[in-house]
Amino acid sequence: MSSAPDNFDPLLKLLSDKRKNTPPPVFFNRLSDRVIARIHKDQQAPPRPWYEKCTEDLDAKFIWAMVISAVSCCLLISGVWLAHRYFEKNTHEPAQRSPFIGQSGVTPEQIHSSISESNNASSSSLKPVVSSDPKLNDFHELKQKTGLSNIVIGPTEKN
Amino acid sequence: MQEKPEQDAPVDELELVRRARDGDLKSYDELVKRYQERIYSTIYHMTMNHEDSSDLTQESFIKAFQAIHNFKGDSSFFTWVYRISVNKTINFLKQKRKRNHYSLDDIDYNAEHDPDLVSLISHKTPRRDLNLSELQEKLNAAMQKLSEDHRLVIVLHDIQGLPHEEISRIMDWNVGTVRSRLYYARQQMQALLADYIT
Repeated sequence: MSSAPDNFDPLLKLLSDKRKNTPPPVFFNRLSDRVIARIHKDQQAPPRPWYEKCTEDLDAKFIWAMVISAVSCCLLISGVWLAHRYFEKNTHEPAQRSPFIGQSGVTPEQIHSSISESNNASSSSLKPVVSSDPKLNDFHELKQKTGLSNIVIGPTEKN
Repeated sequence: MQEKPEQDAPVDELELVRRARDGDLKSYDELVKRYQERIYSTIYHMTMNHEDSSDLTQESFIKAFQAIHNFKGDSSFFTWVYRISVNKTINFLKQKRKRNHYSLDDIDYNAEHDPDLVSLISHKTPRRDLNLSELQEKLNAAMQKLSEDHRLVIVLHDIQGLPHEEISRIMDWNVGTVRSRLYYARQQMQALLADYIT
């Protein structure tokens, strides 16, 4: 590689002559003025929206554009997957507690067993769910079994 | 900060950068004036078009001003601006090539580089009859045939006279890469101009 540099002499002479091939100084005075004028104009212009700057940057940097779009796709897919899992879990699991159960301290098992027992008794239409006779009332039995005696059904009589 | 800088005394480059970063356009104007000629010249030898060179030089300095807060001072401001302008020019040339736009100049250029036409001209025109301006035209045409990297290294080293180390900093290449690319670029130029230079 180092044996040939002398052969390049005529070429180097021609190339070094090109250095003199420049516009007159007046051109450069105008050039710097134009640069400063454009900067001044940009400073006075209203700021561009952030998304315009982003798209401009991404246009220039193709790899970054690819990386950002890949990350966005991954986030979107994982978001959809998580949402799907969340809804699936909620539809399969029954409600664990209710405010009413929480206040009385009664477990869901007690409620279910008492309801199933009372269902046997109230399967006939002859024994209505709500009756003026406390013994025929399903809620009376339920109240007795669960200990929720403070529940009042129907209008209360204070007088 | 109270005292005003003297007009005649050259102000340190970093001081000018610091003031420009604070929004002092006069200081930035001084920086532009210092380097515009060399940057314009480099871009011109890459594009071979005065209008494009003027636009690209302006855009390079505007971009440098907008990004001056990112200038950390690891290299000189000159190297940093040079890097911006070189990247801008390479992007411009790539876009221009993609557009595949043929202007009248390009058609002339293609006709001029038709192998049959070139051989005819070489045959009819003895080497000694070429004057300097014609030779410069041939040189420009040969430069346009080089790849952007090879053309750039020729412009920066052989025309602008920058040392290998400076080019390696500007282009972010190894010094060895700069040397080898320069060698191959010269070899190609030599081959392209074999009929005109001895």
